[in-house]
Amino acid sequence: MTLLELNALVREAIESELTGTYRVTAELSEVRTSAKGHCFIELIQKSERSNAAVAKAHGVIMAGTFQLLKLDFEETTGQAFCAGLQVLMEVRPTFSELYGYSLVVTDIDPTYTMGDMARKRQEIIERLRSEGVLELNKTIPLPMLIQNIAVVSSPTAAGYGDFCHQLDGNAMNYRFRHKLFAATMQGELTEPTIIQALEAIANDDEAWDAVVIIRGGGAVSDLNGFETYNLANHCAQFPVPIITGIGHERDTTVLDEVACVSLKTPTAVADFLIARMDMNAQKIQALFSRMKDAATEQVEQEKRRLHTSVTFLQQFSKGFRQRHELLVNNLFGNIVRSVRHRTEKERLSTDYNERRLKESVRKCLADARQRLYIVEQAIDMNNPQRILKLGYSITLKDGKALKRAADVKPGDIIVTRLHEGNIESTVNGLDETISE
Amino acid sequence: MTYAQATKRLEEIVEQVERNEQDIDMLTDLLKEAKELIAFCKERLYKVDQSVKEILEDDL
Repeated sequence: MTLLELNALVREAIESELTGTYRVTAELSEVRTSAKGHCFIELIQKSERSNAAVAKAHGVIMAGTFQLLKLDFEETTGQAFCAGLQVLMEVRPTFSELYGYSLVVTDIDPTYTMGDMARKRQEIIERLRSEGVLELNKTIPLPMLIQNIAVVSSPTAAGYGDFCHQLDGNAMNYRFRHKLFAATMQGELTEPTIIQALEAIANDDEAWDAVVIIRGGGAVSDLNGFETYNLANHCAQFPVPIITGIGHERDTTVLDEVACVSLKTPTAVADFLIARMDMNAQKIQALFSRMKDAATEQVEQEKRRLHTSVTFLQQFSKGFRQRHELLVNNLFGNIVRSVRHRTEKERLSTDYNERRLKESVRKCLADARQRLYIVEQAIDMNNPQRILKLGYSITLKDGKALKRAADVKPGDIIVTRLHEGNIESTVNGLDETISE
Repeated sequence: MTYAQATKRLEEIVEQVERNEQDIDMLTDLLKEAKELIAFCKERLYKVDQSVKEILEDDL
């Protein structure tokens, strides 16, 4: 028997035995839409104890049905029809010789909204909330510049390569220092290896600005390792801000709920870090510009103030100078007037003295002349020639004028001097009577 | 000799001549001296006058 023949038997058995439709609860672990609008889904059932998958099945919702169901589902539940949801579906089991077993979905009960993964996640979240740790990592302020980055990832993951490439090749040439702390990013080793990596980061002497937990995409069921209380608790209480970029855009995990920042992909994390750097660089640039503007404004203000002061001083100085010039001029005028007054006074004094002197000298000379004249007159009056001329005579004895008769005796020879000529006589007698 | 000394001496001479005490022979000498003193004083006053004029022309 060929495989085809065997598969044909299986198909016939299924078609004959499972003729109707079945209402099945399962978790949507993957939802993909084809270009033609068909929706391909992965259904999963997990063990309640170990969280490991116990049943899986492929499913398809044909394009026409999917359009209606999706619209109805999203309108009713208020959320996208995506992986992670526990769904109640009406399915018809089919089998294809080529593609094997699959379920054709004919209806979805949108009221059965919460999938098992989402419910579990909610339980974990509620537990973390009740313990007061859910928001702890979110409350750590993210540094303005995230440059020292501890990366938790698988070293071989394409997502890690994308992250490094994106970060190191950033257009603005920002420098990031990142170090890998290797962990297994799928399956059951996810939780213990990530916790180990976080412990290594916590014990590292170097200061880390942030921890980045990244992983490439994959089937949603592969993310199960991230949906554990233990890991979420570790991350929530981790002292360094955690940024997640786990899986593709359509996946979220409980880790995303507790992380400080949750992003879709490793590339998105790298872009976020670059954008933050860029934003802060712009902030710094803006601050610098403001500072420059403020400084320039202050300098201008000081210039204006200085100019005002200078103008004031100039005006004040001019006024001061004018007032003092006037004062000095007045003083000088007073001095000039005093000098002129004084010189004039001195001139008058000198002239007066000169006049006095001239007058005094004239008077002196006149007095002298007067005195001389009187003396001259006196002398003239007593001139013997003038008296002789009047008829008087002088009697001389031995050349001396006789003034008394007693000075001669008879017989003496006496000479009588007349105005003109002398008479020599001999004394005969004496009359000593003094005539009046 | 200062202007003050000159004027003082001139005053003395004037007073002496006014009192008519001096020997007439001395009068000529005194007069001569007084004439010189007057010339000295006038010269000083003239110079002061000139200085004032020059200062006023320069600065005002």
